[in-house]
Amino acid sequence: MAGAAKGGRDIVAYFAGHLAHLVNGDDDPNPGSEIMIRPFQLFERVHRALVGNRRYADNLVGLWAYPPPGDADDAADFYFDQVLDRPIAARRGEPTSVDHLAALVATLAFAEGQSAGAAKAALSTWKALIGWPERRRRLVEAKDVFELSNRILKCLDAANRPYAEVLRLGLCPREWLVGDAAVGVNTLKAANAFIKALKATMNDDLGRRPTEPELNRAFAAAAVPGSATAQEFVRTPLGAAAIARIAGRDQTYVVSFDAISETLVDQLVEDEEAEPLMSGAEAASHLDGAVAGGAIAPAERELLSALMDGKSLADALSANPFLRRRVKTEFGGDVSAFVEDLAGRAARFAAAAGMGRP
Amino acid sequence: MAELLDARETRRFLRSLRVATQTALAGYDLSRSRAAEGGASFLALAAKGPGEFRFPEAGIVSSDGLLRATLERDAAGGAVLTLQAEGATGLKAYAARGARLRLGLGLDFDSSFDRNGTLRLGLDRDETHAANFSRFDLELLGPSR
Repeated sequence: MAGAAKGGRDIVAYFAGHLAHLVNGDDDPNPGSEIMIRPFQLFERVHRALVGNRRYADNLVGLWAYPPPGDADDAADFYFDQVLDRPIAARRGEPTSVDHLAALVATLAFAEGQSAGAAKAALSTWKALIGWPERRRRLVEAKDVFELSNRILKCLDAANRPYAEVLRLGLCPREWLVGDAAVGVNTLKAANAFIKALKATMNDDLGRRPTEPELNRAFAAAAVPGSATAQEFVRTPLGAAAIARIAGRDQTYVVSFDAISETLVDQLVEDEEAEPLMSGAEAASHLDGAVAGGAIAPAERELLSALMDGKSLADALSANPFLRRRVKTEFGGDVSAFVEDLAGRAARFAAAAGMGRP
Repeated sequence: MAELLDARETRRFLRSLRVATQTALAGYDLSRSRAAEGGASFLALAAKGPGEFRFPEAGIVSSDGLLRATLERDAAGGAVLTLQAEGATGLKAYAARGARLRLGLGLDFDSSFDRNGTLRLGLDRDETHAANFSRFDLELLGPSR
């Protein structure tokens, strides 16, 4: 069984960006001011991407977690149904992230037609994107595409969570999200927290069954609701499967835990739904702080600022020979690896400097 | 100066940074794949192993996800490599197009997809041995003649 490849960091945000570009017709070599969004063609593009893009296959779909022969088409179909087309229910009768997405997409449609927003049933991300007339206005400004991407991402951060939590346990989502063995997202999160604690208790010495004291210490640190003791959890089907992953010689779990963890946001902050994205100028104090703290170079600050202002990555890089040389010499020409590394450094610095205050 | 920033603004910055960089990357990759139209590459995910490379029974999907390559070996040691365009998008991109396949050093073959998006390439024993099926490339040449 192949392990998950590296490069999973923020694959959900990348997928949201990819979807935003596809919904905006940006894959057309000669895009006009109007586009036609045909649901089946869009589905096919998305499906093909989930099958053919290795980063998606490894870190989003988790093809490695499916039992042999591991059919990529079936796994992509299941991911589509369970994540993209998963209804996002309203809480307390308030608009959800998918309602906000539907409202934005509705403003792009030229004619009155099928109204996704008027549907009684809970919308999915997919239905919010396609449930409108096919003829639409194309977003020309990059900042508008960012906002579309932002709203898709808010949906995906929630809808992708159960699927990713199963992968994080090294298990196959098809076996734990549907049918009699289906497990809720809160139990999955708790199981992952328990496994994380167990992994630390075992000093990462995996490939063996944990001892009773190790199980007890881990459960004391991270209990799983519904089970009174570690032994009780281990006797549940989910607990038994998760422990089997740790104890087995198959290293899927070891590979999957950190890679998939990086795709998950720690918390969803619903009350900041309406906050607009920052421009490069607004972000200046954060970026300057990262330069002053030695987390990023001045030239990298300029690149991030340009990207936040909506400049294309190709244009921003072409304006900066220092960074082009760096991409070539330090990242083997891999622009994605460089940008992810850079964004990661800036984000870690800002999080350490700015979080924790009221 | 960073200490003056509150947690809410920091979360907003982090989200903006996440969206801007990943959306820009996705757009960059999309424009590169547009520029690369006119070809595709095939890379077997598990090409390396203790033994000789074995072509997966399920085939290999191309980098653009629009073609599936399968290999049928015959008793004489030769093989037929079949590339099949998948879906409406695959057909639109590949049906009735001329193509050049590069299977290894000096192993270039000109052929064409039929109107069903199928390209079949017969290889004799020597060519099968010299070909590198774990990674090969396809270049589109134009409408088939």
